[in-house]
Amino acid sequence: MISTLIERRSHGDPIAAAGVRVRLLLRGIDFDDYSPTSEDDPVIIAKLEQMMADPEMMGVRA
Amino acid sequence: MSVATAFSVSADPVAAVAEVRTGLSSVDPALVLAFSSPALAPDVVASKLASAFPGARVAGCTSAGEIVSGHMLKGSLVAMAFDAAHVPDLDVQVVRGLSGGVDVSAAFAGFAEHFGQSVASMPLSDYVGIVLVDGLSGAEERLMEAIGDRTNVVFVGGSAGDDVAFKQTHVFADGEALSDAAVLILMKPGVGFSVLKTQSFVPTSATLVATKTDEAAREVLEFDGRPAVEAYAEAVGLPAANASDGFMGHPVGLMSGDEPYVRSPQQVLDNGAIRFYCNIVQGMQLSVLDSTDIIADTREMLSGAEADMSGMSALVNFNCILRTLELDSKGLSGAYGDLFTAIPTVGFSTYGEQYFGHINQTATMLAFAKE
Repeated sequence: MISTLIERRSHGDPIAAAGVRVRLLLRGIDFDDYSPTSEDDPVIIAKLEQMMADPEMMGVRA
Repeated sequence: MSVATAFSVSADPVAAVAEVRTGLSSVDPALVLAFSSPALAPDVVASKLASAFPGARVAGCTSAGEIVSGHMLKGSLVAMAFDAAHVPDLDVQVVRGLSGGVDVSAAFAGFAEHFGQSVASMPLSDYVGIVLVDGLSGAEERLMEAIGDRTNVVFVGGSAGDDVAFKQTHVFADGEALSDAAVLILMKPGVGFSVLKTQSFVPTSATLVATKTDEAAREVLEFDGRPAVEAYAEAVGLPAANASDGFMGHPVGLMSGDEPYVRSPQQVLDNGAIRFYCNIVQGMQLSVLDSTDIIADTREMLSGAEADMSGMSALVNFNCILRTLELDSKGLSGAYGDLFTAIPTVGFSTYGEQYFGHINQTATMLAFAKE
């Protein structure tokens, strides 16, 4: 879910991706702490859903 | 293509604005940024600035010290004017009523109407934003998250000050002086630009995990399962009773690689918690930081940025009040101001800095290239 958010918000732009990672970090979500097998945390999922709520952001070219 | 800076140390807000207007007369401005001591009546400053520059958008805020090319000032009004070649397109929006909840949707709708495209669709290489926010609102984290939910465009800025009185701060927008509000400026510069960040700290090997927090109050109740003050004091090598002696030189940093996002301790509470100047999320791992040389670090950062940009035409500096207080205490304010002698600069001492989120003990800057 975290990788999807970064990829779709940044559309492959590494500068945009770095910015999304910092935004996540400042919300308490360190990308490096998670893997596809990490246990679901409802607090983290809620924060990710907030960042994924704008459909244009999730499809926009950065 | 030009910018101009001006300042006044007049105690009369009408005279101060008139002096600044004269000082900026070489430029036909599209945008005027102004930062003012709260000793100058904010409503007068805001309204007089708007009438002094009828063809420009005017934005700014009150401060805890002002910065202008080569000078760090107190009790002054400083301003920078950008002509239309420098900033061909911009819009200013106000977010009001922060204490009732942060809602930037109207501001972003306003931007979309002005620019003819949504902010979400704007390439971050072409657009940049400035955010100025009531420094006593406690709303900076929510504001920056709301902005970040809607765009990848970087908004950089600072929290308004009030000369360390901590009673009331104001932001300025097109003639109004507002509290409990934020001003957002979105621009498409006509020259290259870069957002800069510098803080004079290095991480130590000591880390603390925030295991119990009150995010809304910006309080850490426990680090590593212990009362926050005990764990912090041990990490910085001080007795718990003297923990606050370590605050200025040893804040904590949320690390992104080698880059710290500084969270500065403000106060030890009776329950052993520590209140910070920005929030710490439960579960965050933080590095204890050691202070380094503000002058040397800022000089090095500016030198690198100037080289990368092939010279700067303008710089807006949002410099943390804690950095200013440290510089003042060491007699280095003049040396800090000197760093900006050769670059047209305007800025202020903030109650917090904005760069992706809300941070402390940092200078965030917006630099414009010469072309």
